[in-house]
Amino acid sequence: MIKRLLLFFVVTALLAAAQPCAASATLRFAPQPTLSLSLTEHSFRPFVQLLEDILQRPVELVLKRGYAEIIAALKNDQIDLAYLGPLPYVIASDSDPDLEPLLRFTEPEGSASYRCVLVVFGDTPATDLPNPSRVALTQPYSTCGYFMASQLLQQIGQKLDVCDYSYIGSHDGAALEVVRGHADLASIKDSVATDYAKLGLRVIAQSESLPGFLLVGNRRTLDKAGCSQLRQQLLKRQALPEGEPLQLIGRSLITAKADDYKVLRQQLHRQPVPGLCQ
Amino acid sequence: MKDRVITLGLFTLLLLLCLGLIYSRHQSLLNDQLQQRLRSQQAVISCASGTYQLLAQTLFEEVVQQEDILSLIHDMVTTEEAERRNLLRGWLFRKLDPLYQRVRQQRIRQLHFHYPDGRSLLRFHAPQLADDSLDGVRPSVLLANRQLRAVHGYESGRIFHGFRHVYPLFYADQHIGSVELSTSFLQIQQEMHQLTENQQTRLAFVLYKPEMWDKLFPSLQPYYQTTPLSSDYVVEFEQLSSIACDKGSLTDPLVWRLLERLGDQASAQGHLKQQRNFILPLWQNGQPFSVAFHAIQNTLGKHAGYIVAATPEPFFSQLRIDSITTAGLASLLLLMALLLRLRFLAGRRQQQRSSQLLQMVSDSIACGLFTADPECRISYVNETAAQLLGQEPAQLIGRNAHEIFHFPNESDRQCFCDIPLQKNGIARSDTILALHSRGHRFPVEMICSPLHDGNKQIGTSNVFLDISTRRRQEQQLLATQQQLEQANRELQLLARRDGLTGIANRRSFDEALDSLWRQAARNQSPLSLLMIDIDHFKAYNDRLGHPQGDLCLQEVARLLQQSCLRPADLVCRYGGEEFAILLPDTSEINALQVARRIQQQLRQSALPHPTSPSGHLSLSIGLCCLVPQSQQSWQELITGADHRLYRAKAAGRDRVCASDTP
Repeated sequence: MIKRLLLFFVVTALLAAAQPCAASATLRFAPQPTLSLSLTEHSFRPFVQLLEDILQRPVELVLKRGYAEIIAALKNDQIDLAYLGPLPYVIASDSDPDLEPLLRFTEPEGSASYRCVLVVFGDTPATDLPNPSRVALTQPYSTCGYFMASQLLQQIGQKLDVCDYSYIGSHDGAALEVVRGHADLASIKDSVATDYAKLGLRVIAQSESLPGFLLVGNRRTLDKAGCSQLRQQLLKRQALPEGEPLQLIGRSLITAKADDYKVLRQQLHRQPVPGLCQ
Repeated sequence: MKDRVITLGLFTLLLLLCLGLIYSRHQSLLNDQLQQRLRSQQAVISCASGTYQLLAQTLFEEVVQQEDILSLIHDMVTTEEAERRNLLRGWLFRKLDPLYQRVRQQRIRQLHFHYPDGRSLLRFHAPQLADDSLDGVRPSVLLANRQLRAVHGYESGRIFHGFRHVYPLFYADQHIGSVELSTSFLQIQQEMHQLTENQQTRLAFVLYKPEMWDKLFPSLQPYYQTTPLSSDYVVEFEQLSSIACDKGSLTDPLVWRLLERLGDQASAQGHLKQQRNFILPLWQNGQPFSVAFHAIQNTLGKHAGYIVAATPEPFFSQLRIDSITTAGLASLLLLMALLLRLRFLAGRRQQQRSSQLLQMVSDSIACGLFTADPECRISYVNETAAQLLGQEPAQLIGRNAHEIFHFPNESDRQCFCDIPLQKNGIARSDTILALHSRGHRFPVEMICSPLHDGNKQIGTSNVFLDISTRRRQEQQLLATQQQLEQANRELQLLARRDGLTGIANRRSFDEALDSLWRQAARNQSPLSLLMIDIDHFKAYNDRLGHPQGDLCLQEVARLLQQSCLRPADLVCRYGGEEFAILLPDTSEINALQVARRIQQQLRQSALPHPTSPSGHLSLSIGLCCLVPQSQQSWQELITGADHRLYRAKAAGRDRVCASDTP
């Protein structure tokens, strides 16, 4: 009887131990959050297919509605791989040292970095702007959102925390708020500002070059060999599949290091974003 | 067997004909419904697009045609400075953006200004994209700016495809470009949904790839999916609409499944090649649909795609049920008819076999057999009957039986065949005469039986037998019988007559005496007996010989016979030369008169007797008359007469001795 009980416990223990292996058989990949889950799924489906081809294992697309959910899921080991913006990566890695930056995505036009800029409508000098101004921001987790806007406003002698700022949700939306006259300033990506120059927007301040979106691996659930294999294979590809929607993801990949985001991390520590979990 | 094959062939032919007619009717009704659906949807599309054209016209006239707007555009197209142009574009956007937001609520999706040369001036749906040439992409814009007239129609584009309404713009009589108010298919779709709410129509807009693919911004091409219908047709991925903040879907999942089904159908592919309107019926998961393809042409009149409308068609189910039911009933009826026909054929074969058997039986019997209808017309005749009547059976069919069979000498009497019908029972007669074809008649014995069909008499069955031979034998037998009877009568007469004299003999006398005695006893009437003896007859015989003696006896007998005048009187030879006469109901006096008359006549005849003393023959007669009493017998009558005869002999002969005579 005792032998049988022992055998039962051994088998149960072996089965329990086998569970994580079974779970890790499928790679769980979280793309950037969006209000439209189906759009995100459609946009990242070719990339998921690419991952499956490289890793020779199934990849599950884990869709989340916000960066907070993705960061929490990474911390809870519910995600193995994530596509994060610079600021969300910095925030997530601050509290989770096991997140490893694997690769960075280049901008659509090919540059390895981008800038955040402050734009105004027309030829209004910065000095003629009302103080405090009405500021249009993208979203809290956006690098060009409150995080960079607060630094850029300091360049023109204003403080964001005293300004009338609001989150519009997207770079385009923030730019159009200025064109419409609903805001005096907007903090957006430089590429968007270039597009909206056709509507009279003008850059009055810009940030230093910032590293772009990156692919982050969870080392607790993704072994080092797997990370290395993924990095090597993706770098060999040079270009992502043709079907990849350009507006959502870059075309090329470059090696990413934690140090690439060191400056951002320091700036975040100096100027935290209100309301974001540190 | 041949009948069966013909019947089965006919059944198959009729079945195919019925099923063909039902299928033809089914298809006709189906096509009518489909064509009606196609026409009604065409009307809805026209109505929906017309509604937006009217809305676009109103917006153009009431909102766009404003002095300040036109002035701003004029400045944009005339300035040489790019930065100023951009700024003016921003101002124009700022000025019209509230209008654009309202216009979007009214389902006008695009508000797009163009330079006079056809370049894009300001897209409200993508304001950051401007100054690009629309040459080769938007013919309607070029047409409106070259011909300076409004252009309406469907047209694909770099970003959106829709139903365009392009109006040329003028400022101070100067052509300054054009403006476009467009509605996407989604708006048309929503309008159609409202117009066809009760039909639950699902819509999709499939685009003709050769017409639109190269116009698209390359970055937007991934947002299109090739349809399973054909690789030449794509649909806009639904989330492209989401990007543009439109609500709704361009690819209904059901329509997508229907397109998958149609992709395998050759007929659908054939229609697609023609690039015209068409509609097809389709069953999906047991539910019927009509899938209509409304061909859309661009402003140059070239094929640009289809509006696909899938509508549930419960009528098709009902029609299918009706057709299947009708086909089933028709098949069932035909099958029943087939079974009845086969059964009828089997019955007829059985009947034929029975008839043949009956014919063989009826032909093999020695009797004539025929049937007649209630009017006595012969309906069937067997071979024997035909032979007996000397005719072919066919010659007899239809003839009136009364012309052939009837009672002898009774042409006015009814036909014998009528009797069983009237009696409702079997009639039999052997007195029927049949008419032979050669004209002679011959006797037949006939039995007629009524034939019934239920309670109704339908004629008679008649069996007859030629009895000519039998009749001849009967007649011969009758003649023989008559001869025998005559001989018997003569024999009886001989037994009661005396052979010599021809008068009654002793046996006859004894029988008559007994009878007359009883009669007299009943009537209490007198019965007289005369006992007569020829006097000296032995001597006569001895002298003249027996032959003469016999002649003598004969003469005396004749004389006695003559003397008895009444038929009831009986004269007999009692024995030898003795005679006796019984006289019923005769008194002694009257009997005495008879006796004396006898003697007198004998004397008158004077018959010679050589040995008689008188020389003539004489008679002695004893008479006795009695009225029989109960205690008496006829012996007493004989004894009395005999005793008186002796008394007459004793008294000298030739006399009569009675009771009161000495």
